Amino acid sequence: MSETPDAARGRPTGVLLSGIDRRAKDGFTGVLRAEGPASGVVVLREGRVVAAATPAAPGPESLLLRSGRVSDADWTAAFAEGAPHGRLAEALVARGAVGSAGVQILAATALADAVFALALRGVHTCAAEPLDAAATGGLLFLSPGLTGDDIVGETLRRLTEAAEWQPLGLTPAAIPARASDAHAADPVLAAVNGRRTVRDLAFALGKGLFVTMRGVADLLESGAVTLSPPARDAAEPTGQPGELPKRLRGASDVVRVLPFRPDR
Amino acid sequence: MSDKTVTEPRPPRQVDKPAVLGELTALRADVPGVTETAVASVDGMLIVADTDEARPDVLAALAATTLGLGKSTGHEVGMGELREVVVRCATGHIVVYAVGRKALMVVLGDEGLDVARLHVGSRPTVQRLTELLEP
Amino acid sequence: MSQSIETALKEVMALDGAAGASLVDYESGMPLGIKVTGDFDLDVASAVTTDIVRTQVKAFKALQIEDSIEDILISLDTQYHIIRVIDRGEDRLFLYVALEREKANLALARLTLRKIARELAV
Repeated sequence: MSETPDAARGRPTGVLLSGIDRRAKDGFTGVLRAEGPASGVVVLREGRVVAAATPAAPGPESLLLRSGRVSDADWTAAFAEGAPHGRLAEALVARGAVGSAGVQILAATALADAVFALALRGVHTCAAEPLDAAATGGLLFLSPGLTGDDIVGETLRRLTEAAEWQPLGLTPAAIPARASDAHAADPVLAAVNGRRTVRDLAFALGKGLFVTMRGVADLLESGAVTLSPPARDAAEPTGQPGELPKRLRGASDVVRVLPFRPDR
Repeated sequence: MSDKTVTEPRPPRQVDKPAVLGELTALRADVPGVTETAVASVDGMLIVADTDEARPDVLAALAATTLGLGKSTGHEVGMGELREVVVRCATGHIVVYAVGRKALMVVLGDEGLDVARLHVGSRPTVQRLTELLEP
Repeated sequence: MSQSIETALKEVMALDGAAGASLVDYESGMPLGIKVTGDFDLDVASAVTTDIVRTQVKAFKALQIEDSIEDILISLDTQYHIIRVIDRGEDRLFLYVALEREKANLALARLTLRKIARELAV
């Protein structure tokens, strides 16, 4: 993994962001496959980032269906129509399920959230592969896509904010619990059940991971929730750890953002 | 906390339920996207559940049916021993694993469940559950 | 009629005295489109504005004011900054525009922003 010589100049140094940065500058067309505590793909077309997906953050399908904004029937029909040709966005607009601006907003926010989730959880390797239309057709593509500087800047901004939450124990794996019988008018609070991790909450709500973390941060601040540490850090009930890839210290891009937080 | 540990009055044998539950909660903690799990006998009797919204007894019975159907289909088309049955829905996954010859584990996950990671992560769990249930 | 982000921002920039415009997702603070004339740093302005909008929305909620915010006006010595909130179901956005004070027609600008916000096809 690369070290952090460029940190002071605000250049991305994590495996993922530096990979995106470099490939974008090269005008790369293809897929960056990220592996690590979180895995996922980032798709580039002629140096522009057009899609990203990871199990660590809800994708467009979850954002649309969970919120009830698009019906399952509309989604299924649009998917069948558009996905084989990589034209899911066009198919959704053509069916009137989402507007032309709405689909751009959805694609851009889902893309940025996926890259943020990957960078936050940490990526060990980032391999470039040729574009496989069959494998990526189901993704929602942003047209014309974000520049490398745009996505790197946006991700660093989010990581900087997430770094402020880290001392509170607020990570995607943390489990919020309701502190009191505070009225659950807040949708995030209503979904808190003492079982779901912050990541699970994002999926249950059909909201981005970053937005959900922000919502939990607000609830923490107001005292409406408390956090349990991630279960894997607690006493291991069965012993025998090590079968699964565990989170490595230093794998997250957050630690690189922390030291050079702007003075304020 | 809304964790419910439901125990079934007629387990197949004396089972170390806390140990089984420990395996289930560890799996949920280790694999992002896993939301609920249960272990049942192949005839659909619940042994231990780590569930939230699902009804454990019903889940156990349906999982047994799903597993049976998967096994029959596998045999019919000559594809050998069943590994697992994966059901994908609009907002989630249902995965049923055979645990030894007499039991099963059912895993519920959201649509972001990393199925590949679950398959890797669940193997040792299934192995240890087999040892716990068939001493 | 419905508009894409690009055409909406172009229309905003056609306002008299427009120095910069952006469309921002205010839940995440992510700029979804930016147009500027000159060296106006709208990236930073958009991020700061997100905090303003979020704080306002929170304050209104705390005060239990049911009315939703339509726009927020910030008057500077030489500029007007208008934040036009677009709160439509799942999409929580705002249009942000900086206008040169001496060239701008504030009433017309607010009217135009309302129309553009309504026509943005989300």
